[in-house]
Amino acid sequence: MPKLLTISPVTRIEGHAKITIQLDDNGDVLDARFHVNEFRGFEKFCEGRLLWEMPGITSRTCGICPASHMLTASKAGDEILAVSIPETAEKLRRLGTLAQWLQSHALSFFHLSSPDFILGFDSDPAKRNVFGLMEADKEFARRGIRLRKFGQEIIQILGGRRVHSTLAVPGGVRDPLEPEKRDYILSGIPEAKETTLLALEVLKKIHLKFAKEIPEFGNFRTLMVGLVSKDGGLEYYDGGLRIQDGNGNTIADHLDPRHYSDYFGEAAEPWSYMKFPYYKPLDYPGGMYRVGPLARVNICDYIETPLAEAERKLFKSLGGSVGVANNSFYYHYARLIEILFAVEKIELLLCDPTITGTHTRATAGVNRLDGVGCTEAPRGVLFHQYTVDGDGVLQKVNLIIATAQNNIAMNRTVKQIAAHFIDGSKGKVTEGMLNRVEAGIRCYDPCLSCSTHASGQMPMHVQMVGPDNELLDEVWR
Amino acid sequence: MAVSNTLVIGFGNTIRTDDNAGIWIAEQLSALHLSGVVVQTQHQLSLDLLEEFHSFSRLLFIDAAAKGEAIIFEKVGRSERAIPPSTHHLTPADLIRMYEQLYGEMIEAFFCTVLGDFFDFGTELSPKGRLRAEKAVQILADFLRAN
Repeated sequence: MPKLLTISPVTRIEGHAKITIQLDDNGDVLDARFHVNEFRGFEKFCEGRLLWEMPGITSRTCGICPASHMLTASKAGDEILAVSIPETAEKLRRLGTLAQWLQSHALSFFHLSSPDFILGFDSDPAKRNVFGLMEADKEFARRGIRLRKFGQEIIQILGGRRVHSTLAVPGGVRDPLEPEKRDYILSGIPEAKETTLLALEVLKKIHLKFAKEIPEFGNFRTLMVGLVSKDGGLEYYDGGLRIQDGNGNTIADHLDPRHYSDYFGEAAEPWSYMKFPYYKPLDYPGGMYRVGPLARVNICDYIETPLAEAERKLFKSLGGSVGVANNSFYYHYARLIEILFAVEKIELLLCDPTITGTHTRATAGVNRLDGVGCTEAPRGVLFHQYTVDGDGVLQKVNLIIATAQNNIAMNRTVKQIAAHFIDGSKGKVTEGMLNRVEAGIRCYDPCLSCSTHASGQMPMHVQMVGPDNELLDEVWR
Repeated sequence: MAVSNTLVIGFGNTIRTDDNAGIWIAEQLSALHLSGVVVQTQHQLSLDLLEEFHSFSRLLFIDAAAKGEAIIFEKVGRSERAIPPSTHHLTPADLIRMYEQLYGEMIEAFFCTVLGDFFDFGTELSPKGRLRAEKAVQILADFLRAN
C-alpha cells in the first residue's frame, strides 16, 4: 500500500517547513517535497513607506541576516539617489557584509549542523540539538559561540546593534569607525582564525566519518550563480553575476545585477509559499540553480586571501576532473572557507588607513525612480528592487532572496536523500532516516522567514503518503 | 575579570510600537546610573550573549508581551524544553539552561514582561504601553536598588 511520510517541523533551520515523502506500492520513494508553510508579505506592506526607511524595515525580515538586507536596501537606495558613495563608506559596508557572513555561517556550522556531525545522524533526537552538543563537547560549542559573537560585535560596533544594526543608509553609512574600535576588532582576529582552522580540521574528519553517506546528499549537477569581481575573484558586496554549469563551464559572466529579471524568473507551486526562481533561458524547472557558499567557492577563479585560497584549491579537488564540487554536503566546507576568508579580509580592511576616514555619506534627493541593490548574503545572492515616486515613496518592492533561489535544488536534494535512505517496504521508517532528509535541507542553511518574507512558525513535519495519498505515517517536531 | 552585580537586557523590536517596551525600560534604567548595574539592549536573545554572563552574578531580562498580565516580574526557572525550535526564538530560560551546561555554574535570573497594547509600525510606545512601562521602571529600579 502506498504511503506518505511527513516530517514536520523541519528542525535546526531558520523558519517553518515540512517535508512530505511519497512511497509507491513497493515502498520505494516516488516523490519528495520541501514545503514552506509560512507567509509574511514584506513586499506588499513596504509599499507606501519612504525609501530611506527601507534599510531599517527590510532588515526586520530576518534576525540572522539583517545586515544583508540593510546593505542591499541601501545599495538600491544609492541607485535611486544616483550617488557614488564615499570610499570609506564602501569599505565599512564591506566590513559589515563580512561580519554578517561570519556570524551567520558560525551559527549554521557550530550550532545547527554540528549536532548531526558530533552526535551522529542516528543519535537520540532528544539530545541531537544545541543542548546535546553543549553536553558532548563544551569547548567546541563555546568556540562556536565566541566566533559568532565576534561577528555580532563587529556589526554592533559599526551600526549600534548586533541585530538590526543601523550601519548603512542610502548614500553611505551613518558613522565613521573610530580607531579605538578598529583596534578592538583587530584584537579578536587571532582567536577567530584559530577557531575557524580548528573547525576545518573537524569538518575534514567528518568527511571521512560520513564518507559512505555524503555521496547521496544532494549530489547532482546544477547551474551555480554568484557575484565575482572584475577579474573573477570571490566577491561579496559588488561585482557582476557569473553563471556556471555543473561541469564548470561559464555560460554567462559579469552580468549586470540590475538586470536580474532578464535572467531569472520565479515560478510558484500550490504546495509551498516559497517561490521557485529559475534561470530563464533554461525555463522552469530546467533552469534550476544553486547560490550561496557552494556556488560562490565553485565559480570564483580565486580568493584574495592566502589561507582561504589554499582551502579553495582543496575544495575544488573534491570535484574530480571537472573541478566542480556538486555535492550539497560540501556547502558546509564552502561555508567554513568563507568564514576563513571573512576573518582574513576583515583584518586587511581594518589595516587600511582609509577605514577610519570621516567622510562616509553622500547626500542627494531622488534622481531615479527605480533602483536595484545586490549583495551576497550568507545564503547567496540577494536582490532588492524598489520603484518610487518623486518623493521617494515606495510604489513597488521586489525581493529575490537567496534561500528561494535554492528551492528547486533543495527539493531535488530531499528526493535524492529520501530515495537512498528510506525503504518503506520494510514497514518501518526510522527517525535516523528522516533526520538525514532534514540534514539535506540544513546543508543549504535555509532561512525561510527571509525567503517567503514570511511570518509564522517553522517547525518540521514529515509525512509518508501512499499512491492514493493515504497518510501512512507522520512525524512532527 | 571583576564581577559586576547585574546585567540588564532589554529586548524587542524598536519599530513596532509597544514591542519596544523592553528596550525603552532598559534605557530608562540605564539613565538612573544604578550602582553595579550594566544595561544593554538587544533585538532578540541569541547564543552569543552566553559569553557575557559570567561577568555578572545576576541577570534581568525585560521584554514586551502580547497577552497576559500588565506587568509580570518573576525569577527565571531552568528551561525543560528539549529542543529550541529556532535560534530566532530563544527565551531567558533557554539561555540560563545553556549557561549552566556550558559553564557548569548557575546564575540567578529574573524576567519582567510588560503587556503591550499596539504592535504596528511606530517608534514610540502607545499611551497604555507607556504607562505600564513607566510602572515597570519603578518596580525594577526599586528591586535593583534593594538587592
